[in-house]
Amino acid sequence: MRALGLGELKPGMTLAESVNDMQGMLLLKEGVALTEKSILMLKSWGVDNALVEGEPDEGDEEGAPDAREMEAIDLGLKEKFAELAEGPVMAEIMRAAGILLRKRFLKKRME
Amino acid sequence: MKKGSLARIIGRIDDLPTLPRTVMKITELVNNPKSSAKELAGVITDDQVLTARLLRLVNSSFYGFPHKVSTVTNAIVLLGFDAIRNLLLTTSVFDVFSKKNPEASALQERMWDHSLGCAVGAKVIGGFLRNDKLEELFVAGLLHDIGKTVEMLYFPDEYEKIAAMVEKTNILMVTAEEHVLGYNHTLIGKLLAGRWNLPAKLIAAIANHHRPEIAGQHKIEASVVHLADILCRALNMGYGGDSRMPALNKDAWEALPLSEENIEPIMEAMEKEYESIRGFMDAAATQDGASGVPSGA
Repeated sequence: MRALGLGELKPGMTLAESVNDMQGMLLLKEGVALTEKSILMLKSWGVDNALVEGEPDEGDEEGAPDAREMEAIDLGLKEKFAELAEGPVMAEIMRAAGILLRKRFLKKRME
Repeated sequence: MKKGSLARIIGRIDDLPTLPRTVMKITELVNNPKSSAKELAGVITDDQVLTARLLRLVNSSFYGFPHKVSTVTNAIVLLGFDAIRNLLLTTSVFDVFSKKNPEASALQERMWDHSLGCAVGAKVIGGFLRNDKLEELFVAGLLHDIGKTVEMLYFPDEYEKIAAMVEKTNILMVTAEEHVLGYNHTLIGKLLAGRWNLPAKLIAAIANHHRPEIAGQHKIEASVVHLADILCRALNMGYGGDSRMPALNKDAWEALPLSEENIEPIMEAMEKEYESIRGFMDAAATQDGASGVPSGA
């Protein structure tokens, strides 16, 4: 997943995280596919960025540092969990941690 | 555990930190079934700092109450004695150690972050379990590693050896502790909690968070703290004294009516609450300073 500015959002992209307005009201739910209409709607609510699914295209300069950080997160988790990840519950904990740590990083980047 | 070691801890017990007198008084009141809400409110309101902190915490996102709780009496009526005691513990515990050693502060802060992460985890898990004593679980999580802080501040030479061993060989902290001291932080935590007159349930959660299966009737609480410890480590919340992940105790997992599907939502809720509670604690610390009231008074 990656963070994109409003101008970079395109119809067909899938939201990786719900978008709320500044008062915390839900605008678009996680998992929906963006349409031209919904992107315009976000703009009118003053949203300026969103997390979408998918990795950046090859040769996308801006994606490279993000991809590196994602890799570092995954490696860090693998090292931390080591053979414990063989158990199903620990594997799930590791998987969820990966998702949430990535989100955390991307959120910080957007600040 | 070596005999001499136990004697040594007991000998050092007098050096161990005490809670602020007011909090100890409150703990006594709460432990006494004959105490009235009026008495309790009276003791709390005698202490301005404690009153301010308690009300701030009650009105924070910790509860997310829709209306402001403006008096201590209201807070007591809303939450009950035990919850109030646990909230006061939460607000006081940082002070107890904060002035002791300014040099250790960066590491100390990270260890507190880990304790806070575990506290949030315990509270969130408790919420999923529809447990009605969330403040207790929160405090249990907050204090589970208190023994490590005691080691760091009161046995600095030994702590240095332990830390060096952990760094060099990447073993679990408990292993290093047992090697250097002959016992580990859960025992120190247990002794301290006993000295602070904390209820048996909390003592058990602190003493047994690595081995919840021996916590007897307090198995659920110990298991919650055990799981919360693992989750907050997975989320890199602070530093727990070593970089290793403890194995998930099978009995602990089975004791909790949770399934794998609950894991991601629990961790997601932890992320949100952790940030907001941390923000609250930082703001509260600043407010204490700004109002000119010495913290820990």
